[in-house]
Amino acid sequence: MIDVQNVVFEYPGKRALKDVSFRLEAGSITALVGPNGAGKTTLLRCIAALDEPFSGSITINGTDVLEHPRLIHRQVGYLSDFFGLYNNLTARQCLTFIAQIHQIPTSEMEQKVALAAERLEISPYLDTKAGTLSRGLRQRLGIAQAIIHEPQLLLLDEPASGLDPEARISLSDLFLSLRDQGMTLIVSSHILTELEDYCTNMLLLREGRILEHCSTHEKPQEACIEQQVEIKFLEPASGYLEALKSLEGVKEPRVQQDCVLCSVTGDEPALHRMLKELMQRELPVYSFSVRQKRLQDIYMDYAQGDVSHDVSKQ
Amino acid sequence: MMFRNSELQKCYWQSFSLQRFIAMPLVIMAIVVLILLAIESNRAEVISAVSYQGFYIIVFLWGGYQAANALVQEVKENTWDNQRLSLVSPWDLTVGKLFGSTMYTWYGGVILLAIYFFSALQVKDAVPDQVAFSSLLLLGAGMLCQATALFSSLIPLRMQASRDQFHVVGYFILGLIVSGFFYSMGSYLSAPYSYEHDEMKWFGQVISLHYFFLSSMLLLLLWTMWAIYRFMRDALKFKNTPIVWALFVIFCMVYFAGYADERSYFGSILGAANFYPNNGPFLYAFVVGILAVYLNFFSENLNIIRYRTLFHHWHGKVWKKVGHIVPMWTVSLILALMAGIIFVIASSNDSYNTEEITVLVISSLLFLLRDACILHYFTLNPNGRLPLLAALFYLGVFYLLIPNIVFATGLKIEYVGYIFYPTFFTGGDLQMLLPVVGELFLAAWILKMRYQKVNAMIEQ
Repeated sequence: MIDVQNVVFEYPGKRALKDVSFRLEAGSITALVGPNGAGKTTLLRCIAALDEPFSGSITINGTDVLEHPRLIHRQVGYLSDFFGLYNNLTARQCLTFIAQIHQIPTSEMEQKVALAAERLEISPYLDTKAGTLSRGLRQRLGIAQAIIHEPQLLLLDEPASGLDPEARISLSDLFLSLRDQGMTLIVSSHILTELEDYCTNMLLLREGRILEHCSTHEKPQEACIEQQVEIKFLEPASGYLEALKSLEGVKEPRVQQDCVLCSVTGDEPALHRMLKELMQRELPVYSFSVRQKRLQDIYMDYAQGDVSHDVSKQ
Repeated sequence: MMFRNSELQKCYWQSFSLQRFIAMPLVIMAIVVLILLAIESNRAEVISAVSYQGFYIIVFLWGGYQAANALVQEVKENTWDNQRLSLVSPWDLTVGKLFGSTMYTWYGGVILLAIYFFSALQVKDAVPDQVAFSSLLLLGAGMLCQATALFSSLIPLRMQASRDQFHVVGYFILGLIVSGFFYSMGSYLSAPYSYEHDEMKWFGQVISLHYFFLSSMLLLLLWTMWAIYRFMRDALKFKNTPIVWALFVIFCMVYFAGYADERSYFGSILGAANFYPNNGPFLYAFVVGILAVYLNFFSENLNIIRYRTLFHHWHGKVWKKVGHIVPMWTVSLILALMAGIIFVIASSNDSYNTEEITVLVISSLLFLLRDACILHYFTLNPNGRLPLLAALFYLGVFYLLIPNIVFATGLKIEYVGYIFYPTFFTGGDLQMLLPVVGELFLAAWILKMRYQKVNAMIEQ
């Protein structure tokens, strides 16, 4: 679907993207994460054919973005971080205008406007001026504008910023439903806990480089070389640290609240052996669970410079 | 109302409400009725004069400002990217931006123009041709004002200036200045006595001054609209080559050369005929080429990224991309060089001043290259604030301050002028090129240091 190869983008005095390469499959929702200034917006703008990289190639469904940017504009919807609306137009007029500039036939225009409004649940506000809409509704209108021409790829830069929790949850549902309708999404955000609800992949960008590109929803045994295990004991957990240390493949057991957390190297059989060993030693275990690495954990590992490979690379 | 042009449609929604639709003719009619009630004699004269001035206020002042603001507002309100991502055609966007943003002012303008036309015909001894000329002139100059204001507002976008460097009032004033020339000349030509002097010479041909003037304005308007169209193409990700710019420079060379060989109205102002009586047109063409380079210097994005990308494609021999990204000033420079060569060749029949003309052409080009180095020294600096202003300051130092200090010591421009200026004042001698060659080498060396330093910074 999207193939980005060796993309370099430069601003005067600074290289913003450094040899960025990755590939995304159709129907995926990718979280594009990274600290401020990592190059997330620049990357999205390059994919949307708004900005042209210094070198490298980007193809979407086999179409070269640099050679055929206008063809790409048919396939891509983009909502920028600081998007604007025509405040003195109604939501209907805003959507009709965007439909017109995407050359949607006049006969289909009304239907497309209604469909986009329905998808974003803004139908009751179609005749309200954009300038008087709440922040959440403006965000929805912005997304409705981005999808009115039914793009195959939707790029969203910080779509949830400024939204209340309820609006964020419904945004997650919306992204999943768009994905189910066949769209591929790339969502840049700082709010990692929400990205986790709907993202299938994570692309971690830092100082213009891809630090990690991994799946967020794969099974632990496939995704992890090293897994986090949480064990709860009937008695105070601190008394069993030494016993855990002596087990094969167990690393860094530590007490956290009422349980012990440790890293276990290996796959499902390795976890089974560990549990069996605990039982054989008759340790008073009443809970044994594998904690899937959360998006935030993965991000923090990298953000803090801990780049051990505890997630599988695609 | 539905328009096929999406931008016009949007502007119609934005500009017209029932109240505004009614208000404009109502206010105009109220003023006309007031005049009719207040004045008993020369009513037609007063109404035509008021509507003439009213047109200027609404179309030039109000409309010019609207046009200057049309795209700047989109950029500032973050709606421009939506349009860039769309499939709208550059021509639709050009027409939409130019006439859409000013739609309401044209609504009033057309009413006032109609009032002017019919009331001016009622004035005693009115000449219908003259009234038609004035009306056409108002219409054309109004469009030119708005087109220039819109076009000049696009220049900072082309130069990738930051948002706070958009100065709507500046573009608007530029529009007023350019159109103001035609407006004031037109007003002069509209006077009854001007028909008694209705001729001028261009390339030696006697032409009606009125028609030539109107044609010139129309041509400038068409070029301005074409320039806006080219910008829109660029913004919408079509690939532009420098061919159209080259055509424009060649057009200007030919157009202005026409004024040189006769002491016509414009020719006498520019005065080339006095210095180079046989080669005036070629000198004019050469000067236009040089001016075009300077115009490019101050209207193009000349930052480090452009040159790095250019050299990247150049080394990769991707000539198509080189053609898309090559700075226009290099094209203008080549044309100026060609015009200079033709100027020298044309002067070879005139043994008296061939060497002088050769030295003048070479020194002009060397000074131009020196200035290019100075300008690029600032534009290549990634941390530089207002690089063009800094370059202008130093050019001011080199062309005004230092020479005037030297002249103040008693040295005369006729003897030492060649150190500071092309050899226009000093006559031609090849040795006179030595100082400027030295200045050029020094400027080029400093520029090379800057380029290498910034390059290294980016590639770190």
